[in-house]
Order: sequence, then C-alpha cells, then structure tokens
Amino acid sequence: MNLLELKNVSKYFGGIKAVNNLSFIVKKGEILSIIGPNGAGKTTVFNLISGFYIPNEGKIFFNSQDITGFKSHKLSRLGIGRTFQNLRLFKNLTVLENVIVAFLSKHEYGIIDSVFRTRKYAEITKKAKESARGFLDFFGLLNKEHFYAGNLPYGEQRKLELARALATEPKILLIDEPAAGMNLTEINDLMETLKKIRNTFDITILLIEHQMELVMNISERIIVMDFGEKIAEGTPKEIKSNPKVIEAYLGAL
Amino acid sequence: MEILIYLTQQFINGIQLGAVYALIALGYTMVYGVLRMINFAHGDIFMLGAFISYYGITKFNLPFPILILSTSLLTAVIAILIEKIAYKPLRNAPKISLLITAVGVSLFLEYTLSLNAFFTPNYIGFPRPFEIRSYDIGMFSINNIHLIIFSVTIISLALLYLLIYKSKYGIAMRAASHDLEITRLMGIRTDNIISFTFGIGGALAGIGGLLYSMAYPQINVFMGIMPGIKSFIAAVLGGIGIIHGAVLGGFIIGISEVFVSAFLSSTYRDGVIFIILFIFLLFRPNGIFGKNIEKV
Amino acid sequence: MRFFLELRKLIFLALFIYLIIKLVIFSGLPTDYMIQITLYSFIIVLSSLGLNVIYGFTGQFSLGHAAFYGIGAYTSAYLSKVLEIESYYGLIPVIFLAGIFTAFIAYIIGGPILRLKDDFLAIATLGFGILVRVILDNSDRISEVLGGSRGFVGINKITNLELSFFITVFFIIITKNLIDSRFGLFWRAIKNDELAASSIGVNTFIAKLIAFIYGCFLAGIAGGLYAHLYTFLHPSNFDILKSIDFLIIVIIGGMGSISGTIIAGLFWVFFIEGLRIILPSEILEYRWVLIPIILILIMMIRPYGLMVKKEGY
Repeated sequence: MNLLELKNVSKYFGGIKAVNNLSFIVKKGEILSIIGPNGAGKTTVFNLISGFYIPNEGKIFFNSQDITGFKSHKLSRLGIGRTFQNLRLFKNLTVLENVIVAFLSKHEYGIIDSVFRTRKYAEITKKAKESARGFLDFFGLLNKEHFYAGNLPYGEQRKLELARALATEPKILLIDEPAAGMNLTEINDLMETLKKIRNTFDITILLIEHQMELVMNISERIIVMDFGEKIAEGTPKEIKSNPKVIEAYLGAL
Repeated sequence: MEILIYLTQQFINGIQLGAVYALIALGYTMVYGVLRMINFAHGDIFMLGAFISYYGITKFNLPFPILILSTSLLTAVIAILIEKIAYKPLRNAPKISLLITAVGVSLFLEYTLSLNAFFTPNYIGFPRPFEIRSYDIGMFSINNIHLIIFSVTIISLALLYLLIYKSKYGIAMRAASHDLEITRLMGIRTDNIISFTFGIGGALAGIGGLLYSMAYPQINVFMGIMPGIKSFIAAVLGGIGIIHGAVLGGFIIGISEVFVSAFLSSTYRDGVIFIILFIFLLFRPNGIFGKNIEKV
Repeated sequence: MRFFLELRKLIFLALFIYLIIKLVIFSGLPTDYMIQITLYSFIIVLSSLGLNVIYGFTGQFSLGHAAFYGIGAYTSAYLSKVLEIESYYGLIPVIFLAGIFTAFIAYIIGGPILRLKDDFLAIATLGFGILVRVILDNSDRISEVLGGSRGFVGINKITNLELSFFITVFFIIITKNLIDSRFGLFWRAIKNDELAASSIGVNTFIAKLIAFIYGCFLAGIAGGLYAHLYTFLHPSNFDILKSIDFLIIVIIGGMGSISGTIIAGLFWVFFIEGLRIILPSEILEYRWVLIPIILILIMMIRPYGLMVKKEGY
C-alpha cells in the first residue's frame, strides 16, 4: 500500500530548480533512503513533504489524500514527523519538556482547563509525562530528563530529536542525515536504533543519509537524486551496480 | 486651475521633505544591509546634524559649503563611534538585544542633550544661513531654500553613487550586504566596512538634519524621533537593504505626508504613514524593489 | 476546587502580604502619595506581566505595549463616565469589559502583524503605538468626553488597595497556570524555534496570537485600574517611552520569569518615584541619562536579562 506519493513535484528558487519533476512512492512499513551529492535537493524534498515549502508544480498525496499546500503543523497532525539536518531542539526547554510539547500538540485541552486546572488538565498532563518518559526510556535518556536540551552531548541531542518526532505519533518519519558528525561506533548504534524504531512503532521511514554503509545496510529501497532530479531507484544491490549512480555519486567516493 | 497650482506647490514641498527622508533612509538601509539591524539611534544623528550646524552658524559663522562639510564629517565620526562603543560588543548577541541597545543609545543621546547643561528640552530657533528669496515661475513660486535642498540632495546622492559603485570600500560594502560572513572569509576587514557604512549613513543623516532645519527652522533634541522612524519606513517601503529603494521610499513618504497635511489634517499625517507601513508589511513585506524569498 | 487546593500556598502568601500593607496604611505612617505609588506599582506589575507573556515567554517583541495599556485606560474611563460608575463593585465589570475590548483590538491587529518577525515586528508594533497616539490626540472628534490632546479629565477615583492588589494577584495566578499549561509550553517552544514547533504539530500562529491577545488583555486591565487611580489621562502617558518602561521591567526581571517581572516592576516604580522624593529636581533629570546606560550595559553583559533562568519545573 502506498503511504506517500510525490507526483511530478517541482520547486524553484529564483531561476534554480532545486527539485525538478520528481515522482516517487513510499510504501507503508518500508525504509526508503534518498541519497545524492550535496545540493541535489534532498532536504528540499523533506521541506516539501513536511509543508515548509509549497511545490511550484505537482502534487503530494499522503494516505491517498491530496496534501499539497498543507501547513506543517497540520501535516504533523496527519502523521508526518521529521527531524532536521542541523538539529532544531528547544534548547532552553528541559529534555522532558521537549517531548511533552510534541505529545500535547495532539492531545488537547482548552484555555479554561489550563486556567482552572480542571480534571481534564490533570489527566492529560499526567498522560503526557508518562508518554514522554516512555520515549525517553526507549532512547536511554530518562536519567537526563531535567537537563536543558541544549546541554546534552551531540549524539544524545540527535536521539532527543527522534524522541520528540516520535511523540507526535507519526505514520511516517522523515529523518535528515542522522549520522552526520558521528563516528563508526555511534553509527552502528544508530543503525540498531533505527531498526528498533521501525519494529517497535510500526512506522515507515524516509531517510536522507550520506553514510553509505548505513544506507546500504538498513534500506529496503534507495532513490538517488542529482541536480534536483531522480536518476535511479531500486534495492541497495541494484543501486550499487547502476552505472549512472556510480558516475554521479558513488564514483566520487 | 487654482487647485492645480496648489497641488504643484504642495508637490514641491513634498519633494523637499522627501529629499530629507531619503537622505536619512539611506543610512538605515545600508546599515540594515550589512548588519541586519535597525539602527534606532539613526534619527538622533539627524538631530545632531541640526545642532552641529546650529553652532556652526551661530558661533563660527561658517560659509555654507564648509558648514555642510563639517556637519557631515562630525556626524559621520559620531555614528562610527556609536557603532564601535555600543553595537560592536553585541556582534553575536540576539537581534533584539541589538535593537534594545540602539533604543538605549537613542534615549541616552536625547536625554543627555536635553539636560539644562546642554541644549535643554526646549525648541531653539534655527538661524537660516541666507535670506529667503522666492521666485515666481509661472503660477507657482519656489524659493532658494527649496533649490538648495534639491541641489545638495542631488550632489550627495551622486557622490554616494560614486562611493558605493566605484570605490573599493563601496564594492566591499555591497559584497558584505550579500553575506557578511563570506566577505570576512574572503579576507576583507569587515570591521572597516561596518565603520564605513555607519560613517556614510551618519554623514547623510547629518546633511539631512541641516537641510531639514533650514526648511523647518525650529530645532529640539527630540526632533529626530519621528523623521527617523518615518525614514526607516521609507527604507522598508523601497525594500530594506536596497539603496535606490530608500531614495524612492523617502520621496513617497515625504510627498504623502505633505499631501495628508494639506488635504486632511496635519494631526493625521503620522497615522497615515503608519497605515501605509502596515499595508506594505502585509502585502509586500520586501518592499517595492525587494524580491520575495522563502527561507527555512 | 483543585484550583484553590493547588494554589493555597500562593493565596495565603498574598493574603498575608495584603494584611501587612493594610496594617502599615492603618498605622498612618505612609503619606497619600506613598499609598498611591504602592497601588500604581501593582498596576505596572500587571501590565509588565502581559508584555512578559508576549515577549519574554513567546519571543514576540513589542514596542507598542503602552498603546494597549492606554486603550484599556481610555475605554474603562469612558465606560465609567457614561455609566456613572462610582463604586468599586461597579468598576470591576467595567475594567473587565475594557480588558476584553483591548484584547479584541489585539486580535484585530495581531492577525496581520504576528506574521512578521524580530525587528519588523518591533517597527509594526511601534507604528501601532504611534497610530493609537494619533487617535487619542484626536479623540475629542469621536466624543467630547475623551478630551483629545487636552486629556481626559474628571474620572472618578475608585481604584483602591483591594482592587489593585487582588486583581493583580488573581492574574499572576492565572498567568502562572497558563505558563504551566500546554499553551505556555508552546509559547516557550516557539521562542526557542518556531519552525521546529510547527514541525511537531503546534499551530504556531494561533499560539502566538493567544499570547499576544492575553498579554494585551492584561495591559488593558492594568490601564483600567490606572485610569481610576490617577483620574486624569493624557495621550502622552501612553507613548513609546511608556512602552520602553515596560520593556525595561521585563528585561531587568528576566525574560520568561514571572517572579522576576513582579520584583522588577515593584523595584522600578519605587526606584523612579523614590528618586523623585530623594533627589532635588536638577539631579532628577539625569534619570533618563542613567537608565539607557543601565539598559545598554545589561544588553552587553547579560543579553537575555538580569534575573533570567528557569521558572517552575
């Protein structure tokens, strides 16, 4: 079943085509990676799917619903979660609060509930803490819940960002270069974490990554982009032997 | 016919006021281009220009060309000093801290100079360096103050053009307003460019202060606040960071202000200017010449 | 019920402070002027708290806060004059209505201007402040009672210790509850990173608008109390210098700190008014020379405010 579909999507900045006539499908439950040289338009694709950009041409479907032009907070509520290439945590909020915000954006109570601290307020607040602690536990961050997010070491900030994205209960998670700045041990650790996320939360993952070992090991399918266009698509095995890919990207390694 | 003459007369007055706003707006737009900050104290440089020329006239009886040169030189130096002392330590601070500091500098200048030991908070009559002479051209009249303001503005703009487009510093400044960090990495001393920008802006605002006081010969330490804010609005209108945009914006604001005063009421003019600002911020936040760029 | 139970400590503390103030006044030691300053300081705290919600917690810089304070003051004074209100129980609904009206204005202008960021928002709010000033200066064309540039005279003096103290305490508690709720969390998240907040499902525009409306509502309530304390309103009482006053209090108290705003607000009023008592008038004019220097120094040394750090949690 198709969870996400891009149909002939293009995005221009001034005269530059950052994404050009791109179409692909993400199937429910798979791990799909997008690779390509720097400036190939990968992050732009994420920004289009998560509603930060509106495509100049083409349409985007999620669960067969046309979501082109939806605002990002609405897309989050529909079940599209994401992380950012350059970590965008709420640095002056505690680790626990970072995750609670995500939970509370979906579990609502009104201003009157807040002002008078009604039963509903108390119940949802309690649930939010429990749920958030569950996610922190999953990533081994529970003992740091009272730290300010900005004070965590880099690797743990990456994990916290994943925890925060997962707390919005997404159906698909877009992960932008999770291995950036990590050493080999950390990358192996990350690989396990990503697999564990998919199995535990029954989630579809769309991944942008440069680290080839990680991509080849974890992905079921791979899309290769160059100059805003899709130049290849297939299993890791097919991609490895595709001459176009080797020329554009892998050859450079 | 009557109304046509009246309109032309008001138009001339509008261009006169617009010229002053254009001179001030240039400083805002150049500083914003390089540092991405609103130099809230820029209107006070304009005020200092008026006071410096007041002393140039009353104490030293300077001839007009020397008066312009010395006023602009002094205001340029003051603008550079303000940047070095107050803004430079905050180069990496949050944007709003810089704005608050600029507000602080503005208040400091105004209230220090309003002390009885200095200029007092009262209005002072500004002695015109020449007698007013009116010339009747056909149906309407123009006076030598108008002519001087127009010609000084045109000369200043021409010099500015040469400085920005032909001089080494000007080219570096325009590079810096594209990307300060990359300009720095290219080995250009950005501190010098910033000083240069503040200096040019300060000189133009100083000239503006002198011209304004000739047209409206009452000066006061708080006189820079409203022209400052309106000139900033002029810069926004033209597209902040864009040099010719600031000039056009200045004339638009000046002419609208004069026309609102003439046809509605002078008490409404500030309100109308801000309504223009709101309309622009809502429908064309990047100004007349600005490009709309999305950023994440 | 839960409301009173969870906050009983705060409520007892407030009652205790009230009794002390009442006793001191009863002793006859403080002059009328000092009592008036005390009531005024609570009003300033209330309005500053509003700006702290907008700027300190949510990060939306406003240079027009005094305009909303003024809208509340003029609205309530107009209502109480037209309705011939003379008692404090009549004044409570009037002040509440003035707050609602101020909030309504904030809603109208907040919609468009909250799409702007940082210094552009600053200029837009500053512009709104000047627009309000122009309207107040010409207000006698709307209704003779408002007085235009001559000022609004002859407002009944109704604001007393109980009104200013308990209304302020009440809204401090409400504000604290809001800050602790999901809305407060959204506000702080938006201040940290608006884009990230929207990526996890926060409707950032609505959240900012709520903060702005609520903050201006508090300013409107404070304005209503002010009008019936000083009995005379002038457009110049609500110009940009007043906005900067509120801003200084929020910055000194620490952005995003309720207790900081309370302390800084009280300190500010007593500092300014205290100087007026102690210093001869020639030196007094040095106040506004000193204040900007303090402001600049704070920005250089602690760009996030003096007493800043966490609140709650």
